[in-house]
Amino acid sequence: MQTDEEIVELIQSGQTDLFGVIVDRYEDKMKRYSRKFLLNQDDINDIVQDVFIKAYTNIQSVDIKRKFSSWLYRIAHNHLVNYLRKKRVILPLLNLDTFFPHSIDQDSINDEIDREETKNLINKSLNKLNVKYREPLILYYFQELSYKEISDILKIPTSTVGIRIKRGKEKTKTILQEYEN
Amino acid sequence: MKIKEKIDNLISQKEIKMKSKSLFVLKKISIFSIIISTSLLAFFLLSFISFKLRINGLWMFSKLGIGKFLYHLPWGMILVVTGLIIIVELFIKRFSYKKPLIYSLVIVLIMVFMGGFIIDRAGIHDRMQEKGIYRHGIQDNVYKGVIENYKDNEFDLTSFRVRVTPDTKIIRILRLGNGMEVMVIGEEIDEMIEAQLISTKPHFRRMK
Repeated sequence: MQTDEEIVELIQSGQTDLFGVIVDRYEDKMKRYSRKFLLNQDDINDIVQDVFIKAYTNIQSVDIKRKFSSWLYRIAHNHLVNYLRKKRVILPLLNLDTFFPHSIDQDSINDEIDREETKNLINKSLNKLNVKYREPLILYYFQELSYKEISDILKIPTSTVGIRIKRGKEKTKTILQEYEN
Repeated sequence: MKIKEKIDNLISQKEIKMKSKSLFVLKKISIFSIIISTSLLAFFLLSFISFKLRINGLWMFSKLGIGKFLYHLPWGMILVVTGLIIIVELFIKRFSYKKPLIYSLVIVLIMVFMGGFIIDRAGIHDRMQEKGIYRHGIQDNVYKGVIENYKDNEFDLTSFRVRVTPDTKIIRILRLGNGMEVMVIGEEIDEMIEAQLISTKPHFRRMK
């Protein structure tokens, strides 16, 4: 099976019909990703369609030495951010956690049992969780992307990805404890 | 209709088109040009601030208190340089986002200060001043010249009369006397300057 990058190279050279393969591979992933931020199915379909249109028009800018999926998720992220801003969701312009280096214990995050439990916790508290923490958690736990890929999508340092996931998990637990009390 | 079918239709009917590769290359060149030109402008302005402080002896205002020193700093230009540094940082961040912002910011600051320092040391502003390009806006309550007719704690300096009071700070000078090249800081009222500070005249920096 051809990799995404190989297909993109062929599309860039003129085989535009192969773009359908990309849509096939990523349509469900993009919908799942959008569903964590949006509730309305029509809005989700519109966003995903716009993401693919934008991806097609800009496909010549893809560097095939880098992961295509990160590039596509970046477009989706930008669309979702714009959509949320239109819906007057307050998103910070400047994040202080991108300023300084952080050290994180990745082993405590990678535990599989912990992973399943965290997915459940995130699902229960998703709407109450700040977008700043929600997005890395979704990309890590539901889209199963690496720190490096999330760093490329959100354009933040890899160490900040780790610290947001860690803090996001803590906040999730706090939200649920408050809810239970 | 499924999203895939819609996209396929849009592509086959040429309702959506790929942007050409050259457009993205041009965009990258533009970003690179903005980084270079903004950095050069920041170097030049920062070196001009350094030149202005040096040639006007504005560092000497610090001897009159931090408040006076801060008051006389060229804040307009400092703000412009700060803005340029932010612009450079914002563009560089596009490529260096993997590392914490503080690293790229420190690198940009070092780069701008080094560039400014090199331009200042090269004496570009000194030569422009000598050629009369900087005709206005250099002086700021600062007077320079040779002491003449020194008598009873007063002396002539160019077209002004300078009065030395017990509060006048005299720096790097053991004893005032005729023929000395000095710099005076003080407010001028009716061609009489009440000196707040007198120091040796700052010299131009020349290329060897």
